[in-house]
Amino acid sequence: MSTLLRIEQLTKYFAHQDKAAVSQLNMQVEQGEILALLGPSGCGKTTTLRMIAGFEQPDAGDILIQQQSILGLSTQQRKIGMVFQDYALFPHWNLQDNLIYAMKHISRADRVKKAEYWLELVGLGGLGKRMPQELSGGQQQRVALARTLAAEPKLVLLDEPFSNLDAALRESTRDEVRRLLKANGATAILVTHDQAEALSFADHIGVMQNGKLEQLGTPEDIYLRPQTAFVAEFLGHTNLIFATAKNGIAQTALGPIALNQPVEGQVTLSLRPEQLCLQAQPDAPGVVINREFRGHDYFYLIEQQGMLFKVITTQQERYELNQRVQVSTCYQAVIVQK
Amino acid sequence: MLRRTPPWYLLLPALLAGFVMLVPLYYLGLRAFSIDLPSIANLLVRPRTLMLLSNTFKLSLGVMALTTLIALPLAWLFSYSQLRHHRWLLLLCVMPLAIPGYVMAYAILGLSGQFGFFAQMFGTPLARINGYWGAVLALSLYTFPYLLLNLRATFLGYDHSQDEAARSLGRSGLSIFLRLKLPHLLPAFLAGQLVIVLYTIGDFGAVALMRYEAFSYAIFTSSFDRTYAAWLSLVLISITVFLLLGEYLLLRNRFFAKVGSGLSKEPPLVTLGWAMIPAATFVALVLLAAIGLPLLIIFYWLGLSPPEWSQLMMVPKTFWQSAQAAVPAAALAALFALPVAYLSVRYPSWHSQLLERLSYIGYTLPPLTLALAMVFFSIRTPFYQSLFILILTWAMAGMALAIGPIRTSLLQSRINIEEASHALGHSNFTTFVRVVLPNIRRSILAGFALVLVLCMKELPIATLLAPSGYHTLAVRVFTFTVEGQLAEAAPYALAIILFSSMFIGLILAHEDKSSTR
Repeated sequence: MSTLLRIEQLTKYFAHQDKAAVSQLNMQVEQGEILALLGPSGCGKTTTLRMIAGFEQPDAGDILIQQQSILGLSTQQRKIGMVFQDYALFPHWNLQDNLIYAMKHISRADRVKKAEYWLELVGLGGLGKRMPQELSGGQQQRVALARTLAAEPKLVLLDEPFSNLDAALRESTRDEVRRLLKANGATAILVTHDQAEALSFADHIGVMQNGKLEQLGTPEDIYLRPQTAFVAEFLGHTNLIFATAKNGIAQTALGPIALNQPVEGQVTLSLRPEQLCLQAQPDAPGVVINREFRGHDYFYLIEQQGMLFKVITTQQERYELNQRVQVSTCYQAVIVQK
Repeated sequence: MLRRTPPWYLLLPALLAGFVMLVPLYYLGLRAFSIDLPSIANLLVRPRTLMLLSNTFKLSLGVMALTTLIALPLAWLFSYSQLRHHRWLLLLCVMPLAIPGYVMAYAILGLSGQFGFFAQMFGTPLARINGYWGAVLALSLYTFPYLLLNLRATFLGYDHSQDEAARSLGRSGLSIFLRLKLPHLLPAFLAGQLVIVLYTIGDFGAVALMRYEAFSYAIFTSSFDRTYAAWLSLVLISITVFLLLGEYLLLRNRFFAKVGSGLSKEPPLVTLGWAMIPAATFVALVLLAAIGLPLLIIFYWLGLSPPEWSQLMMVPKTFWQSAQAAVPAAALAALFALPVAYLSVRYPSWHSQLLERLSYIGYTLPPLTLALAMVFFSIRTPFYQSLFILILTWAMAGMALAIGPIRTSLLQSRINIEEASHALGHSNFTTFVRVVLPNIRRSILAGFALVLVLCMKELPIATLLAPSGYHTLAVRVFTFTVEGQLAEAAPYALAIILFSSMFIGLILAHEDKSSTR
């Protein structure tokens, strides 16, 4: 695979703000890959996307496509497609005209046929004469994607494209969009604040906070081997445990725990709630403080030696409030930076 | 935000518009300061200036009081009560906007006098209503809809759950009205009254016909002494600036928008019961005075001495003449409003804000002073007393009206579709022509229509700047009425009312449609 997009030391300040919106960001995206930029609102992910698209100019750093800087190019010269959060379909044109407007590179005679091809592909064949307002949110979403793909861009940017869909539609549309992107061999960057969306949609995830890239890796890497406390907590519930490590073993309130790195001294560990298990013992140090039944599992809050632990168990393992339990783990803990 | 510098094809016309707006101020100042300071003091410091000031002040107070008495109850009835046919009645209550002040004055004058409607109907002539009370009545009857619309919008926008919250905190109805509703109503009240007072101090036709010595009238009658007229204009402009500044200071930092994301709650409508009778009588009385009276008087005079055929045929000819200048003026205003509005919405910076503010000069200047300044400007050019100067001045006076709807629809249309167009590989120009323009087409037309109506019934600018032999409908009504030829004025007045009410109806229908969408 060859590198399509490379971002070097990208930095952006906004007027009247001391802190950089995006600060010395480095990353690259391979041809045909889907990357998700994940982070809370205000972390700089959308600003990064808008700089790649050319809607904003960076204050420092460079953006390269196929080793060529594109900073000197205007948006219309970049050949980068964008799918907007609210789709941004042209309200005064029907679907066909919306798509035809994207086909500058295709001869006029072929445009109508090509528009029908794209509509067919996103499952809206025969609806070319409909106006955008006459479609449901999910359908508008697919037209927006078709319009972007119809311009045959080198790179597709997706700005929170599923956030305006209701929960039932979101998952199916997400799968559909991923399938279409992959089928067209498109390279794409998705911006989202939804960790589940990022985990299931992307080949790689970049987690951002305060304008910085905290960690870039595969979904499994990010979830199972977070490098910072922020990444660990942003991707779901986790237990952050302070401990002293020696010879790859940490002494914790839960007893000795194996570590994924051979470090020494004061460390912070992350253990996911599903990596902990419970055992009922009359003289155990742990007490059940709270229990939530969540359908597919139980979510427990356990107090042990003055610390709180989150534990997820199967629906078969039911413990009562104030019951004495032993918290333990059979997994390696991950060391994170505070 | 998007692209640093706006494209030249938008920037140039916007700069030109801003520059042109400075021309009247420059020439007014030039004329005013053509004499030395002692002479200025001599000119200004005299009892007459003080008299004019106090007259204008008294007139404004009177109009404010009367419009409040008319508009506040109406606004309440149209927002909170189960008044039947309230949609139609509201439309009718807004219609007086179509009736210019001088036609209203004409109607009031035609009511009284030896051959007046009253004398013919009831045997005894009604004492002439003119001077102060005539002016107050004429001005109030056509300006009150501005206050009505403002107050009603606030009443309707008021989140009734605030009332319920206050009640649940143990507050009484009176306390709710005083502490919640009244402060909430204040901005709308001030905004409405500001428009009304600006109309009042800028009005020329009604005040002149009623022979009440307020500023505009004095500027007109002293136009033989141009330096004095220039100084009176400057005083009038200072009052305007003072008012605008006052409103800004009063209203800044006040937030009345709903906090939080819950749905606004609409209040339950009040059943009027027996109060329906006084309520309906009130509405009927207002409509009778504001719409019925002008129409009645016009038809009365038409019937009393029907115009000859040849005279009647002058009406369409004059209409055509009016339109000859009004249509290009409206087109010019809309054409230049477009780049100004686009820059201020899409390239927000102090430059673009300044350009937008500048284009409000023409509208805010009292029309007579604007016209006078344009006389000073054009008198040494070959354009003096040409149709071009009239068109230009009308366009300047109306441009702010055209900016309004274009600005609103640009704010509503999302910038995303423009970004999408760029991302699909299209240039600024293609995007502007193929994506931006089609989506604001209706608002450009609405802006055009607003300016057209303004020009078709405009009096002071036409009076001062029309080429010799060129008569607009408004000038005809005015000159005939001044000479007491009320029957001759009638068909022209009718033509103005018909034309502008048709347009106002169209504009209201347009706004209705866009608000329900």
